[in-house]
Amino acid sequence: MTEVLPSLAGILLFLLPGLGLTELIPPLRTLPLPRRLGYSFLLGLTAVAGALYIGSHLFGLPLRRMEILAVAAVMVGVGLSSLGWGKGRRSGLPQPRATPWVIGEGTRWHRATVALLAFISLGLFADAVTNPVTGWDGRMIWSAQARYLRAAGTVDAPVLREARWFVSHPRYPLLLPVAQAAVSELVGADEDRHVFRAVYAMFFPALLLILWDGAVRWAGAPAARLACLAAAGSSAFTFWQDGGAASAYSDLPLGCLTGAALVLLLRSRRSVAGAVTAGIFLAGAVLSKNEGTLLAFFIPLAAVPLLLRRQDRRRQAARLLAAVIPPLLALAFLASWRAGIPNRYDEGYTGFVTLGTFWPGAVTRIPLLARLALRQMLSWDPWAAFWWIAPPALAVGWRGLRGRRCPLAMTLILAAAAPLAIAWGAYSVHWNPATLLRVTWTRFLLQGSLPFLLLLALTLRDLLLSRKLARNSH
Amino acid sequence: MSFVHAGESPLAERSREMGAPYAREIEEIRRAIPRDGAYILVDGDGADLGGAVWVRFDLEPRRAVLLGLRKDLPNPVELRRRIPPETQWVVVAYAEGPPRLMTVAQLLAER
Repeated sequence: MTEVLPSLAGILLFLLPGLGLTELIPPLRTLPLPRRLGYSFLLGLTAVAGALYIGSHLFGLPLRRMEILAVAAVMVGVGLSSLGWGKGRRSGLPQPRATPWVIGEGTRWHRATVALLAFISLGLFADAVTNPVTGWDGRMIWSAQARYLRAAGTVDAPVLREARWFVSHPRYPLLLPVAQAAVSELVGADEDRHVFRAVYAMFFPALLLILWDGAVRWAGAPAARLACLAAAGSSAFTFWQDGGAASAYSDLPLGCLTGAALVLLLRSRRSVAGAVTAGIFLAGAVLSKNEGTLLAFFIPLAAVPLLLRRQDRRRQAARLLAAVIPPLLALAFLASWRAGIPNRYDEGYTGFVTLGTFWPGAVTRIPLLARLALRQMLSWDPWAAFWWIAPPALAVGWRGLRGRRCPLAMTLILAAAAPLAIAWGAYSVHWNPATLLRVTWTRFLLQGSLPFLLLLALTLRDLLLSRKLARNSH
Repeated sequence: MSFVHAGESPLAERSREMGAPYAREIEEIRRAIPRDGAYILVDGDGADLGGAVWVRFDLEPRRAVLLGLRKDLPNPVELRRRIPPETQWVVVAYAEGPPRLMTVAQLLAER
């Protein structure tokens, strides 16, 4: 159990700065602490690892313990000073009502659900502190890059910048490897120790907390509980070694970042600070994975059907613009960092993909690929019964997507479908689409999982209401 | 299950995941090649089954120059041209089974 305390320290390296930063953001500051923790973890990870990534490349900031601590401490300090300043400033004003614990959060069903989900999260933590990283991409890309960064003390490691060295996908964005390297460096862990795995494990409770925040608001506590349980019941989200929270893959983190951005963009409808924070999550997505760039700009587009229906259209347009600026800056930074790195050991899509290469594969490959995708979704490993349950629930509870909730449902459908559209594009041009699908399809589904689970919650709400109405009519 | 393995050493963990011969050989190679050193990596399998990726991870942060599949290696003259002068060691990786350490001279002599 020598890994337990260092692993906890690794989580706190991101959680505490995140809590500090959320003090600056009114839509997050007023949340009950449990819901705030999910956003805090993501915000802290994006801010700390992002600052180290940018600082290392642009200003030569070493990725060493003192510098890492200093970056984290600044963010914690900002939060603490904001807390004190805000209390003083607000003391003479009428206080906004704290968001109440919603109806249903005190019931025994709720307590049982929380206990079960906490138990699964603890199981993930136990796995993280006990076993080394074993998933394919974790060893080939993310953790491999993290070891090189840590050894060099910079994101511009010579091993990345010199073409002769064998590095898989050397131009992949490094937010998560930087986070890994920061945790290992902070606790002085040698290469064989896997203290960073707890950080990946944290993405599962973070996903649940953000799902809860959105689902309880739009679908109510009972439906939110069921949606959380549906996620927890599938090992794709949890113990799956090739993409779940027990792995060291970037897909679940990417799904959390884009999902959190969407929820925040939609639920803080008047707050520009909320939109900027959503933009920071989207910048994190750009710096986490190649697909993150496409998703980061698609998520604000997906929010358009809901936000521009409102009467304050100009304000909503300004909020959307505010959400797009951070990922644009992240993209410019990524281009600067990549400029010094010769590409090799990579599919190199940008080198051969043109509009013409999608034809005719985008159509002719659909029958084969659809069959393979369906087979993977219906297999017990890693999805368990998820895809046996979710589509029937969507079909039966479709009334939950109508009426007042129709624009929200449209937004969620678009956001959930975006990663699948990217997958379709990749499978249309790849020389071996069946193999590519076999190793990536479930991960693309994870990338769009948060909006999909919210959609599921909306339909579950309808089912629960129908059941209640039927019971009351007898 | 996690509690059963609590407190294991990294060597025991790797032995559990990859097999004891693999774990022992990785330790041997680590002793031979310094942390900031470089080595030649050759895939010993008949096809690309990922053995090289697996071994590279366990040897990081040592830097690797990948020469590809062992069966496809060129003649000694071309091979020598592709080997950086600062590398003395060659690691032959397999998807199943432990890697093998040899010197550059041994690899050239085999061709």
